[in-house]
Amino acid sequence: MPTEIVLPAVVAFGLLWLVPFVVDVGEYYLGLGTLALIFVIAGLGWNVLGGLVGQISFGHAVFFGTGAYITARAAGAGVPFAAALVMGAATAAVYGVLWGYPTLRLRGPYFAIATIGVGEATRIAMLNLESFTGGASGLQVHTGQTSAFGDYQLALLLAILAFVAHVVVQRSKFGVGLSAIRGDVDAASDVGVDPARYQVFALATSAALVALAGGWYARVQKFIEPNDVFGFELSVALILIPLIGGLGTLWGPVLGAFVYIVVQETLQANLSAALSLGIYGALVVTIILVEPLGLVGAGRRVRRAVRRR
Amino acid sequence: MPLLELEGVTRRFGGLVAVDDVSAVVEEGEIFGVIGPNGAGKTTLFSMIAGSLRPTAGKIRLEGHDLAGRPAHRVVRHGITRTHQVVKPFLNLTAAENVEVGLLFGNRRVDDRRGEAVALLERCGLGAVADRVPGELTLSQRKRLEIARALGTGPRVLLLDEVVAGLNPQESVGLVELIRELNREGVTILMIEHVMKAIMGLADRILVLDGGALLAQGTPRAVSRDPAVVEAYLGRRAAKALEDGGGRDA
Repeated sequence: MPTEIVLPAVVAFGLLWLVPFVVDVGEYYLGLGTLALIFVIAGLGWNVLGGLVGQISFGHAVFFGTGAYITARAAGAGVPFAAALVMGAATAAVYGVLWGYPTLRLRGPYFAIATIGVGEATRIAMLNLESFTGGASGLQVHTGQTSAFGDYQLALLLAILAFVAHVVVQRSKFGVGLSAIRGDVDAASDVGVDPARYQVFALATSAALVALAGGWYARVQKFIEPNDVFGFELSVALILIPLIGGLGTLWGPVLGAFVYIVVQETLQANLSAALSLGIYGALVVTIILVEPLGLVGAGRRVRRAVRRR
Repeated sequence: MPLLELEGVTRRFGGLVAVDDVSAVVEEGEIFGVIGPNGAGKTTLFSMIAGSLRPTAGKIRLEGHDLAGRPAHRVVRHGITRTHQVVKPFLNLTAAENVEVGLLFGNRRVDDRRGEAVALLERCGLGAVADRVPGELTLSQRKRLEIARALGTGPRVLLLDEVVAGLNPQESVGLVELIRELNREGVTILMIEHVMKAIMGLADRILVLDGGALLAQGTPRAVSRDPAVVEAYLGRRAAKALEDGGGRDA
């Protein structure tokens, strides 16, 4: 890994590690930090498909929900939590392959529409599968003894893992194939990239990371509910995060997740839910018009301007 | 054994027969032209050879090995690749990175991909724009980039779909020269072309398609004299002009 990635990563994740030791942030902000890290993981996961391949999914909550429920159920049945997380990620990857195989040959808006269908169908199915999900009344998650501080630290470790996975994907032959597919799917196959296989792999990787986030979410929330973890709002949030930070970039989902959580908390505390959705809409339009590469794009512009001086 | 052999290649789209029972033989080292009116099935034929379209019937043999129906990304590994009529560069990658994709996924094992990509770009007259993205290149440069990327896969057979079309006379002369050089270096070339001057001067043999079916096949001179070809495609005056300008006999 080149220093231009390692150095800022060590600084950023190092600070996130140290801050709670140095400052007494309190349980509320520690919880908020954990939630932000969960969305870092999920955002990086979404970005593997949406950013690197350019297939915009409006249904990634299905992986978050799958991760949350499988992890919660497995942990509840006595499986060690780490193994439960892996089970959640693996199940989500398999689910991704199942619906990705037929849908990934669609492109652009057609794929996006298909993902809305998959997302909503899954949510409704899960809502009705009461024996497994608890239906509309949700599921209590049994995690044993946990601490806000420990959960934060472990979430940070998982976020670093997701970050490294994203870098490895991006810089491998696999990643080159994905960016070729993003450029032009026909031309990609003319030079030897197998678009079907690569896209399904990307979706499986993406699904596993998002499910990891979902599993950790179940642990820290202690309570999950299909309308929340499989919900369309969550799918939209998973798009907003990389979009705010910078679609297809490595740092985009990391920055976007923190911005999202801060905005979300501020809005929820002060405004109605409907109004906050409106504000997100305005935010998205502004980003797309002003700086399609989000915060990362804005940062690059500033850096170029400074260099020119 | 011929390098590439088409036997009864057919493609139907519903009731329409886009390519109808076409057979042809391409020898190693040839420049083989494919001409015909719009809708004659030229690009469909190329798509089937390159693997982006499955033939309804027929065989496509490379050195006797049937590749018909194999997907494009597999056909590339046997040494057949194509360029597109409407260029399809990876807009999100620089020119050098475009070529590197071909080097990474194609037919060749290259240690210094970056170096080889730049060398291929230089070979195609694009050395100066290696770090530019395709959006900043002219059409002529993007057509050359398409060729450089295809060369990166290490093709034995290169299918060029109207590379000269849309270029000004000076640019087309340069591109025709490049194609001739690549051919001399050992790449067998199949090319679709509407620019008659380009193809008549370049091709060793020409196949004429009309309504999906093979209308004529032979040297440029023989084809341009063929009454059926004149009737269906060239028109009398153009045929006369070509005759006077002189195609090249094999």
